[in-house]
Amino acid sequence: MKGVFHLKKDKKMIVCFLTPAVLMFFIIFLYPVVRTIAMSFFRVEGVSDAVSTWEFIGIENYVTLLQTPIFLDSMKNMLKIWFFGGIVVILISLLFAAILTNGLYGKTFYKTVIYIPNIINAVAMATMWITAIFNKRFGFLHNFFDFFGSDLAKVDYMSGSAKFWSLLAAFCFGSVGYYMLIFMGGIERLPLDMYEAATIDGASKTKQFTRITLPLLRGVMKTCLTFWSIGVVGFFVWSQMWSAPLASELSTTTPFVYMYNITFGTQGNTFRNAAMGATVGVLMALTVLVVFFLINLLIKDDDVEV
Amino acid sequence: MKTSKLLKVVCGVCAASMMLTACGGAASSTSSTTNSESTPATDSTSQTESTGKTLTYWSMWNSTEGQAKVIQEAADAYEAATGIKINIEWKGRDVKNLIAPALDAGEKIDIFDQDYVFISNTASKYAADVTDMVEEAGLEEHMLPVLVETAKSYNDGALKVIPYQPYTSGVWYNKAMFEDAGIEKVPETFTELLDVCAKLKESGVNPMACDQGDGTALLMGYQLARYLGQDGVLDLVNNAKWGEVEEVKKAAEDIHSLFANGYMSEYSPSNYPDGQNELGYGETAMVLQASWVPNEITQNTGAEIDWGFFPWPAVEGGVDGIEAGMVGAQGYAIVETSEYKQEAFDFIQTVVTGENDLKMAQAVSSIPADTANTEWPLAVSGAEPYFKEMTISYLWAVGLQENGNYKDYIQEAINQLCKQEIDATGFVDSLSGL
Amino acid sequence: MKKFKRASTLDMQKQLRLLPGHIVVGLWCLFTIGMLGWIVAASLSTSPEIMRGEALKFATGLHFENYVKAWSSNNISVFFLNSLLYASCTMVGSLAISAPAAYVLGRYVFFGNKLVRNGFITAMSLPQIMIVLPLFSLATSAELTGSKVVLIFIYIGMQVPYTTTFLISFFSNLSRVYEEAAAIDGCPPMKTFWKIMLPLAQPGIVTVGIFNFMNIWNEYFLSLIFASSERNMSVGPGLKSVLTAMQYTGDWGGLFAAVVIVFLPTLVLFLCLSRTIISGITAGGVKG
Repeated sequence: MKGVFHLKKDKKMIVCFLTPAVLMFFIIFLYPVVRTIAMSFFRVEGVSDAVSTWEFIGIENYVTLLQTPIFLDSMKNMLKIWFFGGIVVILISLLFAAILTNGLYGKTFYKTVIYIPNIINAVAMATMWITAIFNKRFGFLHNFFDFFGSDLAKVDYMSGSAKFWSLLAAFCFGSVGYYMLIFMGGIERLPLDMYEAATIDGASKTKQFTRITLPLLRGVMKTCLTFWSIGVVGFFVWSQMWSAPLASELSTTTPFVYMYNITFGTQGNTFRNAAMGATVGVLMALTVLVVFFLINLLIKDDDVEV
Repeated sequence: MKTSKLLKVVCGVCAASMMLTACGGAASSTSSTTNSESTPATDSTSQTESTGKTLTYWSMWNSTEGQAKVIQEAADAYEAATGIKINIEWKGRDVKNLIAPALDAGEKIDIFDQDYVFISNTASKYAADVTDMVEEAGLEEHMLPVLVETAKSYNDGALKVIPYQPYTSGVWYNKAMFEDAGIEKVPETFTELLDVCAKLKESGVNPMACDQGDGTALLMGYQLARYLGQDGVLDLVNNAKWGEVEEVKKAAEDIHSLFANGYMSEYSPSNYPDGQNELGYGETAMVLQASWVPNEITQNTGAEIDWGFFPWPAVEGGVDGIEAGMVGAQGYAIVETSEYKQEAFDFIQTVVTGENDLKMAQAVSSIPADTANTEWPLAVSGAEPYFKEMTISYLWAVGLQENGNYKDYIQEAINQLCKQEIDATGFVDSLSGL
Repeated sequence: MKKFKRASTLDMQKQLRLLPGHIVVGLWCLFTIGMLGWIVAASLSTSPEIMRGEALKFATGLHFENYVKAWSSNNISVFFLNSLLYASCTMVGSLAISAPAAYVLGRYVFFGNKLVRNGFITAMSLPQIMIVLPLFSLATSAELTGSKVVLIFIYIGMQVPYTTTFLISFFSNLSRVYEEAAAIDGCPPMKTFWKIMLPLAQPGIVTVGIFNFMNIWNEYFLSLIFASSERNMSVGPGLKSVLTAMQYTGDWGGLFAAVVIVFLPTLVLFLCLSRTIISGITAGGVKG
């Protein structure tokens, strides 16, 4: 009896168990993606305008957007965050992962503390940086350089061209913990016997790291780059925090901020343009796709699958 | 085992939080009723039958701000008197972004407030024409003419906004520091301003401070407007004539000289609100800002300053003098689709006139909206004589922030100029390159 | 485990050799702790003291009333409870939807399995700005923008792909023996899942539940758009609004108290469960 009905029951179960998740997927992801793509080919003023009021204009939105200097500058900012921030975060987290997997006493304590910034609300974190570290009257950097009598105490990290870099530094600082843990996971999964053999052959720790660890970490590296790219495209709160009380500022704006401004109309008295916001969204998704493709092309994932 | 306990804890937290939020909701509604009890007017009328009408008001204030407290009291008093409930959603400044999508979507909102030019211009299609209601209630004679004129100019003479919390702008200074430096007369021309700066610097204080953003935009905006007038500046912005008008370079040189001569504090332009707070710490004598700045400085630093005021000085060969200034206000809009326009208007009238208006002015040291309230709060009273003489009104930042496509570039260039990363020539170059 | 043994043998000479490493990560940790410590100190101080750089002197004593002020008059209590509601509902809701889905995806071969999995992985890497506009119009046409329900619904949906993907590996690693034994005992498959398989996957469920909780607690953009009025706001935009208001009212002590109140729950949660969380990231990160 049981055996006979087993398959049928399973089918029912598969349908029952899968339907809610798939339904959610359709409502929250598939439908919005399709609508966003469609919207980017129309002229739409407000986000919630009925489809009947949309006016088809082909790729005009894309052409306009790619000629809008402020959007291009926001792209440039994002690229800078991705590139410089990426290098710094990957290098530091790799270094920390290497140090901490080396048998350091107090490893658990260190990695817990280093990860802390990740679990703190970004608004709280940004407030801390802006006040505790960068404030030029009472911030840490001011006091630090003041203690040594250095002129650096007078640098204003929150204005002019320094603003972008202070933003980047704070953002990167918070990201290190996460990538460090991923790298540590990768390193700890590597087969120990290879290192034992290398130690017997007289290879130094550094050499072991560059010759064995790094090449074997390619798959993990790919994961990190992927996560980093997704994270940078969603760059919004930090930018808002750094430009407060203004809605946005040239030196710290990103495509996400631009999308918010153009869709909800924070740009002075210029009119809202929801379709343009959708166009920004599509372009960002394409960017992510291209980056994924490049990462997959450049880094061959041939390390030991664990 | 340990993990299953965890699950239980998590579920417990979940359930508790739902209960708490439910309680929280109840608590907040009771707190608003306790507020109403504190207003004297309520006691006699608290028995008024509820009409069941509820108006929804999206407010630009956060509930903790001084303005919000006065508005909440006014709403409670209004409900007590008429039985009409005003449901206030404290949205904060983001209401500017959220109001239009919400109204497009048919959300039921009756009243919202924002900058009065924003309502008259950008949001005018959502705002009801209140000209007749204002006339009928005789409200116009309580309003500042300059605001009414500006508001009407956007909608062919129709009034779509009821302004309140007006502001003016100019240089706010510490009178004691001026005395110490032996300055007897406030400057009326830019050259005199430079003299005043020199004297202040000699006396050992920073002459001026400013904040990056609005602060620097005001500096450059005023200087440009003194040379070119409001229309001239708008022409620059909208037609990108930065390279063709020679006054741009002159204005940039003037502003640059303030920084280069050390007339600005060493930290300027600072991150808001550090620059203006320097006045509160007794380090700096002057700041160019709108009339909310004395209150902000006092709140931020606890300083008690004897405030003086003078309008931004005139320049040689300029179009405008001290008779022109940046004035503005917040404003109330009644939503076009509202069913209760008259009720909304009646409520707004209680906020912008008489006792409530006076309370608002005292609470945050702002200028009274009702012209019948002649007594200005002490901190801003220095601006009163100039305000009354003012004949020309500028837009906020003289319109430098109007054009969404490149306001960020103008701001960036101004910031660089103030940081002395570029000079006047560089300023002109970077803007004419757009 | 092997590594753990290696690290726990405290060998002074070796640690001395590793001193540069200790210094580098030690300074980094010191900086982090110092920053948090300063915020806590500043939250017990007054605005003028903070501004004059005397936050650590406590010349006027410890101002615990900053916390009272932040909690009640700065409305942090409302934001806090909202976030608690959003985060816990999302955690429970997404688990309730994802765990069964992950179970069948991880243990059964059927047509479309691979497609659904790939769909979820794609959804995880989709930039938020790609989906937010239609969601907003959906919410407004359903006249739900002012309610908490819509945000919770969206949050749950947003977390489903990640939660499912994370749990698939946990379910697929379980032994077949349990289900076979259950089937022999006459237990129907669905009951088998709830009674036997789900409890077996508990470590994974707890880990991903905590992640969901923290993600939602720290979420900003969706809350900004879908819960714009103060009574619905979560801690992120709420704190931002306190910050904005603070620039007009100048209550820095209250602001820092608010900051502490906002980060404390996740910090405590993390410190208590750091081992689960950290091992979850290392495992999930590599697989993801």
